[in-house]
Amino acid sequence: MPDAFPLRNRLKALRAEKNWTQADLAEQVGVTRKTINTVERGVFTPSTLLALKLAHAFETTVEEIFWIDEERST
Amino acid sequence: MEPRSVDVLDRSRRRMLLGFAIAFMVWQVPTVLDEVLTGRIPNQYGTYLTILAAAAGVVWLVFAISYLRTARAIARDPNAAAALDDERLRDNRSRSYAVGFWTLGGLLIMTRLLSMVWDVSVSAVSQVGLMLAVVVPIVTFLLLERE
Repeated sequence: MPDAFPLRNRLKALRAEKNWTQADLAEQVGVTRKTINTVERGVFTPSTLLALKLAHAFETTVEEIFWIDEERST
Repeated sequence: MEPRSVDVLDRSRRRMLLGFAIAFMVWQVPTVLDEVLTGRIPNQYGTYLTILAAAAGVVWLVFAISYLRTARAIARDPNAAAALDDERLRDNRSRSYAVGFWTLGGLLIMTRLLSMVWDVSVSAVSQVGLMLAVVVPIVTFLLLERE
């Protein structure tokens, strides 16, 4: 069933800016590469803690990385 | 901890679990068949099944020991241990246990219904239940963890 509030993210773009692989990012935030992969693809929704760790790794805010797809949620 | 080695340990752990589940199932199936088909298996096939079960039991033991060794290798590195027990993995583990729970629940309901028309053997049900309790959560977890 499609999520009424689909969560989108810019993880892939942010990684590309820093030239990080998924494995590099995974090691920084203490998860597996697969977890980063599933978060990027929108398959897995990260917890608040993981979202904050990701924001910290990219030296930005959670809102800069994740957002709700407003068009699909209305 | 090298990023790649977390992946390597993860794959190794999944391989061990898959081998563990398959070997356990092959080990238990002859016993389940024996319980369910009580005395209806010809002696010749019974012997083959016993040999197969014994061999599978040994293979299962090897995988069980290998899995423990992999778990110890993971535990030696706290960063790897934390990564390989991250929130997504814990979520998948919970779902796997839930599927196992509902599978056993379904087995009990089915047994209850069957017992109304058939003389159901307690040892057969318990043997099937044991097999499902081990195999279903592992297989579910591996399916959730597949790339």
